Amino acid sequence: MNNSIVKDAMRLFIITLISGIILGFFYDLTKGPIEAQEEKTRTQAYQTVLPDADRFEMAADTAYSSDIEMQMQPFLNRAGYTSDSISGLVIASKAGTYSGVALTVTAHDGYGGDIQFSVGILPDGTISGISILSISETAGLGMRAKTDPSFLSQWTGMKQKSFDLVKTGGDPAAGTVDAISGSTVTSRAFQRGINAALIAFENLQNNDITTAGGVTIG
Amino acid sequence: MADRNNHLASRGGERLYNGIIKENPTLVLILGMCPTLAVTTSAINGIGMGLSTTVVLLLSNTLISMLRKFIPDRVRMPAYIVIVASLVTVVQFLLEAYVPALYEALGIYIPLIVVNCIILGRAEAYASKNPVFPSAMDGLGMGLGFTCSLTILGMIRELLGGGTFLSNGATAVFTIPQSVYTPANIFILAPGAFIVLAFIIAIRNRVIRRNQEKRSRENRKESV
Repeated sequence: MNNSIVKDAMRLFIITLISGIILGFFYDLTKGPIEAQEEKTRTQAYQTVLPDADRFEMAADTAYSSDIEMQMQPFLNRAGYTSDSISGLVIASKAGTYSGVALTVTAHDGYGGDIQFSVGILPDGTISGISILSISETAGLGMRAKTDPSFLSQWTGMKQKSFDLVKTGGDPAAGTVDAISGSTVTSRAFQRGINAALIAFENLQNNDITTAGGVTIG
Repeated sequence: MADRNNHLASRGGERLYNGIIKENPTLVLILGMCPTLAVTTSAINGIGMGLSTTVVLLLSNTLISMLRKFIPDRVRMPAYIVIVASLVTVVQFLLEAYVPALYEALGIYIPLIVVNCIILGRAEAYASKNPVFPSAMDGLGMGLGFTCSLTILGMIRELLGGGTFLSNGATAVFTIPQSVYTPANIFILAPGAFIVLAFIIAIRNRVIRRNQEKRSRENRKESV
């Protein structure tokens, strides 16, 4: 009886041990390629929102790189965007000249939790592109923000201080965009998040933020 | 030898038929309901979830059947879970590293496969008691049966709830114009999944019962 318990435990131990070794082996094998893949995805996201830039850098001052969220939150809160935060800032340049910023926005007011997306803004305040980094909205409803490009493309090329959401008949050039029908919560999360990015952008321009490569915002 | 091969082949075929029609995991065994109801908002989603589950089911049934004499009966459940979870994780690592496009498309389904009770169910009910080849075919059959049900379910829900056929989100094979049919959102949501699944099960049961009655009537005639 006792013997068989020890035998069972030993066999289970052998199975878990071998599984662990195999997992470790595959983790090690795929670690490099996965990291390279993630890096590529990130650069691709910046490239989609700022197609003209050839270089993307973080700010040299940690207040605007790793601490950007803390730095920006007071301004967002003051404007009433308490459920959005700026979680990343990348400064883009073309041939050494400042050519825009890519702001990572985390909207906490999505229907299915946080939505994270990257907003590319040109030096004159024009939105050059929006790309979703992570989203878990309802498939077939809020998820259309990702699957149907016509929603986010409303902002592309538009220059406004802020955008309002309307049911239909929006005119982005006049500051109104159409909501996704049946997904008001998701649409609102994006609209507010993008407005928050514009507020942050305006604020960034007033500071002399420089990258290690010597590119300055403004 | 030829006889043995024939026997093996027919047993494999029987396993495929069993998985797809006779004991279809979704429609007859009512296993794996979580992924079934959650991911079938479109036909493409159904195919993606179904095929990735099929691959894992084929591998896990094969492995567990190979180890069936080594795994002690009393601790078989933890052993199965360790094997299945390791397998899924390895598949996930490999996809993420070398086939990022496929990983992007299937990423959300992969962790769901670990908790899919079809996998543990087949390990327990079949692979732990049968030789490797029939177990592998059982995994393949069950996986394909799962894929078929999910695809049909997804197709109907997508058509009624989104007005599209085989859409990958951006483009569809065809879209019903809004002027002809206004999509009913409820079919994309959870209640729609239950309603459509219930109808599919009812129709399948009716067809199978009709066939059985027909067959038994014919048998009676022959015996008379």
